[in-house]
Amino acid sequence: MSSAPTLNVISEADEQIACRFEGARLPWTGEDILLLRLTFRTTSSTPFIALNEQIESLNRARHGLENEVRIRTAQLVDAQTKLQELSAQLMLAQDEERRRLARELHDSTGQTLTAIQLNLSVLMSEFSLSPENRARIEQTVELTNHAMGEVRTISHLLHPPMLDEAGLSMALRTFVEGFEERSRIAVATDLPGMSERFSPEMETALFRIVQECLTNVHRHSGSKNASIRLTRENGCVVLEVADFMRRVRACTIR
Amino acid sequence: MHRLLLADDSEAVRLAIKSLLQRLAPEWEICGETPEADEAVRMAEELRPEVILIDLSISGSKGLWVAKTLKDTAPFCRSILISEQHPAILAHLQAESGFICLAKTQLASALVPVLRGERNTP
Repeated sequence: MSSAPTLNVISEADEQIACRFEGARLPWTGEDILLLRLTFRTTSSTPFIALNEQIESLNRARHGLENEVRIRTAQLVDAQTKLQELSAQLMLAQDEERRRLARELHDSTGQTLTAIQLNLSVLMSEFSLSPENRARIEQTVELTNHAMGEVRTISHLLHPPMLDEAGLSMALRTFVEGFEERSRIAVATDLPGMSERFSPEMETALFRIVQECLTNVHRHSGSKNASIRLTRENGCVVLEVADFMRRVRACTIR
Repeated sequence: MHRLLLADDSEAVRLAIKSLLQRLAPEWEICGETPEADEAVRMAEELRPEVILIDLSISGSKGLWVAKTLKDTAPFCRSILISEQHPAILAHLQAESGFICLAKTQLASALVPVLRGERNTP
């Protein structure tokens, strides 16, 4: 349908409006109005339908994309969780292997060297030894002590000393003492008594966290003081490692 | 004769300690020996030795557990913990736990005086 009638009707209406101030009445018939309605509907609905279709299509695409994003996000979260789990498993496996190696060193080489050193000490007590032989045995005792020290050092590097035997607090105190000596950083400790024990995995993890935190304080902070606090709060184990440059609440483990 | 129970995983170490005592402190008799923590507790309760020498790492890491258990179940028996750990670490443990702790490197010089009650520290 052409838009000419519409223009005519509008034009006439315009004239009527122009005459309004002279009291003229609008001479529109029902037919005119019907024509106007039809014309407007025809001329304007075509683009509206197209626009609506486009909007709907866009909405569909948007929903599709949002859905896709949701699925991908869930997959990503899932992958991240799995990665964290794998990483934790890897750490546990690594610590277990180190613990096993440290134990192996202690049970085999360490014990054998201990027995050698003790036997040599018994030999030293023999009165009939010539001064040369006594000196030779003394030297061998020294060598054995040195070898025992080396085995101990390797074993400590593999697994924290005293962690299994006497627990986290004792192991941390031992570690802190060595750390203070190496780093010249004074570390204040607020740790539970020896009887407070956690699972072996948790004790190892907490020990490693403190080790890492203090190493970071030494490397990056420049602080000459640090502190470690380990407490139980509302069923949680709370570990706080702080230096005096910036305070870091290291972790809370339930 | 004084009686001593020997609890250490390593047979070589037990043998060496035995010959050390025979040579340097013959008044001490080894009344029993075991490589196992639970057995150490049972034997101490049964044999009633004056002293038990316990490897800190016996049966994994149960030396301290043996000493603590015997404090309750066999208070007549004095526990001495022995270990490969560094003497400085063991000094901490001794201060913290109240049990005498000796480094195995120091046994030859420290065990006999400690057994005779001449000293309580390495």
